[in-house]
Amino acid sequence: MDDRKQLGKLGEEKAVRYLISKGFKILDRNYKCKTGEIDIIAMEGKTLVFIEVKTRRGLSYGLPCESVTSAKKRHLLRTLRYYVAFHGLEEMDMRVDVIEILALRKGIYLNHIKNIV
Amino acid sequence: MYSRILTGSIMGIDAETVTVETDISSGLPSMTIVGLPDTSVREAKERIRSALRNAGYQFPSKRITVNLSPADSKKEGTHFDLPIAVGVMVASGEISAGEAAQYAFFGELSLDGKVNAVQGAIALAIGLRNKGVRKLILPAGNRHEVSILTDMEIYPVAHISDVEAHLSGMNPLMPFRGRPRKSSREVCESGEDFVDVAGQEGVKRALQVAAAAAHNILMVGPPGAGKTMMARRLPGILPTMTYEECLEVTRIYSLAGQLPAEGGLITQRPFRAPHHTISPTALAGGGSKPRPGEVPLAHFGVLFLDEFPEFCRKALEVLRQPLEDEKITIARASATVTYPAKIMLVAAMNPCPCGNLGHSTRKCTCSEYQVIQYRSKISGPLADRIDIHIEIFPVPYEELIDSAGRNIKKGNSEQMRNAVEIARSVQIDRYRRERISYNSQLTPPLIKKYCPLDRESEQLLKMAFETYSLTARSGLKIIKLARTIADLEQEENISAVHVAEAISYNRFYTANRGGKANG
Repeated sequence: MDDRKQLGKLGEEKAVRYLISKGFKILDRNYKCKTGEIDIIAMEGKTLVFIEVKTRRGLSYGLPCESVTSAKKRHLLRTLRYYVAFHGLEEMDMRVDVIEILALRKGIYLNHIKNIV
Repeated sequence: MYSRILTGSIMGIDAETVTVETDISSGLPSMTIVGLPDTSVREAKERIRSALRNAGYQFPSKRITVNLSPADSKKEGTHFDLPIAVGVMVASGEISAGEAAQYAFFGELSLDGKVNAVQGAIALAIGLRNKGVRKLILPAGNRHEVSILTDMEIYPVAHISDVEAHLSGMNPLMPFRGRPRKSSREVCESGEDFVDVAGQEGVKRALQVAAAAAHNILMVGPPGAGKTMMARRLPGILPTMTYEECLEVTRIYSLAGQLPAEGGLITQRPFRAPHHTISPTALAGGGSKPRPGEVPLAHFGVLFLDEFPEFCRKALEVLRQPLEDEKITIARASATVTYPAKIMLVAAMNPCPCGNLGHSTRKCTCSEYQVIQYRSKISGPLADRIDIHIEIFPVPYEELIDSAGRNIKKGNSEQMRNAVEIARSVQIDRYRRERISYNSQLTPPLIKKYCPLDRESEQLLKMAFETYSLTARSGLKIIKLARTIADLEQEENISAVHVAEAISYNRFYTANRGGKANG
């Protein structure tokens, strides 16, 4: 596994642990379909939450969350709709979150941004 | 989860009530506004989201659908912010629906939740009032402007939290009462008085007759004879406007963005004197988002067109509809709007291009052809719609200054106005059952009904017909004028004296059609 994939994996693990500590129930990880991929699908109370995790080692390319562009959002939404339709979840409350993780030498920072659309 | 909030939308001069329906349902968080919003309305969702959050309220992360009903008319303006925000708050349960239903709302939101003043507030408020709305929550910045509506309860708010505090009963607001409006007396006295006009008794009389029934008038005379001076004094002898008339004028000025900064009701009759280079559009009104022009701005007042033949032909033809129908319609791609235009047209012109034709001492240098050209600018149909044509001559020295060297002063505006007011009330009384109010609006069948002529008058009219080769329309004009003159004299029936005076107000155009012959 190359370095970048490993970093991503690390970030996702971190995010899952964080979500569980916050009382989220994890439903799915790395959900893939023909329209794209969703990192984490979880339930917070009665709300279905789709989470995109972004991990970076430094700030030289800006904040991790800045890489979630509108094109990326569009992909996320398309996959989301597919998932919702596939499981028949249209009547649920739902939202899309981003968790950004900065893996610096002095420690790991995590930031949870709710409802990005 | 569902709410209904009342607001309004401006359509031309009127406002229609608009119901803001808000539905909050499960699903991916989003906010959609439907019901033909334009960009300024669609942008409301960004302002509302920030305003609610920054004011400490929850912006529900659910699927929000807003419908502006009736959904088939275009909505524009930022005043939808407040009603939509309140709709969201009611639908999400932050405000009780029952309380909010008693009010209509309008206002623009800042990102921090402040409520900002909007354009055309008075037009919107009057429209809502005419639709039966009695309680209004509006921006504090518009409170003085709207407080002239004495039969409405208005609650000015500075911040979205004031709305919530008021509706929840935590901190109820008191209805705002403006300062009492200036009495119309005061307003009239600020104007100019006919006492300043020396001599010209005949013209003053003609203007008084014109004022008594809102007849249109054309003054023909050399430069410096006092045409402009007298026209300016005309609004001062018109009856004071009723409250409803004031509201309508104020509303038009509000739409044109011409209300004075301190707001308040316009109580003085408008006097508009556009320059003769004005374009047809500026005269009528227009623009991609139509705004009233000079004609609607002269509603219930005087439109004074100096150098009448110098106006471009198209501009003059624009006047035909308002003179005929008392309204003006502007058609644009986005909308067709109709403005009311009950105007009294006062036109002034020189007898010829050099201005000296008919002068007792000065010599006219124009050729006959030039004179004909000059006068033909005013088309026959237009001239026919002007009831009174009167010639003005310069005042001789003896009339300006009396033997003792004092200025002669006679007939002030107040006396003239009193007579006009009496004449108008006689007319309103007479036409109570008809759809008109003044003699100038009489149609041929009504003339037959209300203006019977005695034998002597009829003979006189017949003579005038033959001498001046009058048209049928001018004949009717003369009868209408005679009716007004009789009303001014407070006489029940039209007699030969009245007809004779009326004929004298019709001579110029008919007699001088030929050009220089009369000079």
